[in-house]
Amino acid sequence: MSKETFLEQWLNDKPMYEAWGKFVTSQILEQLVSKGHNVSSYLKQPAIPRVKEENSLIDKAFYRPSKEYSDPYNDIEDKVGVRFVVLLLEQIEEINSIVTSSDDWGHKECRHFESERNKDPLIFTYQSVHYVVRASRDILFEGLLIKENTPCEIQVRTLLQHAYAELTHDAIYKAKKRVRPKVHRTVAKSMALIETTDDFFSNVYDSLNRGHIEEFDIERSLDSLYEHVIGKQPMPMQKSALVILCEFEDMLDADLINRIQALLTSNDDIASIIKMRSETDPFYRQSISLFVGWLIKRKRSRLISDWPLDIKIANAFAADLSVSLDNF
Amino acid sequence: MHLLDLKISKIAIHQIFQRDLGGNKKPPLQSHELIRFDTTAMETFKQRVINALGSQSKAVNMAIVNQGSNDVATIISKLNDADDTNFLALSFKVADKLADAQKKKKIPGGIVVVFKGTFGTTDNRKTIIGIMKAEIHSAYEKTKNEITNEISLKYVEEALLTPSTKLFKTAGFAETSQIIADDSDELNLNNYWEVHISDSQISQTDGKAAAQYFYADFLGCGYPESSARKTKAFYDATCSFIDNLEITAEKKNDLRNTLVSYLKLENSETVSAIEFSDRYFSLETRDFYTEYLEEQGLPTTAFIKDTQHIASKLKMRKLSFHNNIKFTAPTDSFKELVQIKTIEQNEQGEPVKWTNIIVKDQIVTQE
Repeated sequence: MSKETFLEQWLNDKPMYEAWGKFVTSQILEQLVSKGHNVSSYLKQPAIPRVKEENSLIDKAFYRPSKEYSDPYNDIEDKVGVRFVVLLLEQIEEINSIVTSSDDWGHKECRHFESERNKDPLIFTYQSVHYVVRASRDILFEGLLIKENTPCEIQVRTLLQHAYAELTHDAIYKAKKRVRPKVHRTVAKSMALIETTDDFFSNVYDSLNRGHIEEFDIERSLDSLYEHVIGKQPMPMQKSALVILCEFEDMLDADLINRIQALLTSNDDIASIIKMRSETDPFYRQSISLFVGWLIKRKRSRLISDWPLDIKIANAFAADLSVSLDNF
Repeated sequence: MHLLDLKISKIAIHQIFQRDLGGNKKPPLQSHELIRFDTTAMETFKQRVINALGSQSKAVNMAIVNQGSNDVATIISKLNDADDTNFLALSFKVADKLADAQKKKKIPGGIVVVFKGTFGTTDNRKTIIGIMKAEIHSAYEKTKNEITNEISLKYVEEALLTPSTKLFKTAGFAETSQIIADDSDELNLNNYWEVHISDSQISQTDGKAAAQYFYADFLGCGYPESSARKTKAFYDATCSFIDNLEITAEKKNDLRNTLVSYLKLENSETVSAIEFSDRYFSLETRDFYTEYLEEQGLPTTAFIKDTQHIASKLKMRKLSFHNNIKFTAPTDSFKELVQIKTIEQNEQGEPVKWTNIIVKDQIVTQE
């Protein structure tokens, strides 16, 4: 294929590629939203599909020394591409699973840093996940026909991996002169640091989100128990409520809600006080009040020893319930 | 006592004084207005009352003994129906009676607080009449200079009801939930009022439930008859709780010994499950223990100790094994001279449940 025919076909196909890029992006964003994510904070830069500039395309097809294409037009798969940048490694996996489970396209994993790490465990270099997805049928989108098999490249990486790529892409990968070994070494050192930091970030995220509160879905269960017992929707738990749950995290287990419910059924003091006080005091409009009532009635010693907030709150509730918090 | 959603409606205070050097009573000082607390002060006062009388407090149940027309219990009944003026007058009579009862010269004066309130569910409110004797002590109040922001201390010569000093005694007369039918013609106030008394100045080792001049001479109350039954129920429930704990036989034995000492040797007239568990159980176990007692329908408030129903159990400790093997010893010697260990493996390393008993003495006779 000559450069001229190549360019002619590209100019002709460009709107279709643009549409395909948009379609792929919108499908993935939609899935993220349906999983309950706020896309603007989940993605660390907006995911905007881009088609390749003509010059760069021609350069890649005909002049780039390392590439030799037998059918350059079809072999170049990143004529349109979109990039998803997230904070954490776990989120990469989440996007991967969206990409690999769509019916609208078939996917090919071109790069995955995990497999590259396994292949060359001693090397620290560019890390990202690259997919090429091809339309699984003819798709009509925004008035344009996208032909079956049209490719689009999807890149998924963490913010830190992205920072690495931003630094190296122009300075190293596309460097016009030979890069000194010392610079390569420094860049490799940064990648080692980035990989370490990404692991730490994951650890932090893990320990923040894998506690008993999440494991046993305490917040939601207390909220629905509140609605059931008090007869009105609770206010969302405030930070102070979570401080209480964290302090008594060891008591939170699969059976906790049943035990609280059993106490509420056998004795309606707690419910009647909450109903009364919720008229004036926002503390009693949160479902944490049920938990605190249970603490006062059932775990008084622990409460006296570990109560994390101003004791006045517990004192007032305990006084209403007629429980003495005086120490012996 | 269970004072759900306590709301205090009337508070009157009067001052009583220490006797003079000759032992003569100095007439109390009467106030002529009811106290009007703001919301915060009232909330704090309510918390003092609950901390003194509420469930899991030190308050003990007592029975009304003196019910003559001039006795405190009778005045309490009158206070129930009194308007503000009468409330002030009758509460002063109460203060005067306390001043009479304080016969010993060393007993300090203080403020007598008489209050009326209601408690219970919205559709079933009951009345409580309470009496507090709060001793006056000195304290410091933090002050801040508005201009320099420097903090300083101001000496307050007369302060009362500060929670950490615990210089107060409280009695609560709560309307009983059901008026108990009584065949006798005589009015028995015990059928109308349930009395709890709490004395924060009585230390656990002191022995008494409350100062005698306060609960007996002044309030005309005495120990209720149900004490022996309650003490036995406490002993039985605590034993079965200890038996069901997932701990070694040695630890169980230690706790059993402790329970016996608590009931038998300690120079205290009251039993308090909370006190016992605070001293001898781990933090986690304490709450399970109170829950267990509540499930068994036992009081978590203190009560008067009476060991007559468990006297034999407190005298001898007994271990029973299968195959009719029994081991008995007087409780004191058991604690001193007997050591128990669980053996979990035999010589072959197989799991067994054996018991190793060491008696630190020689065999005198064998049968």
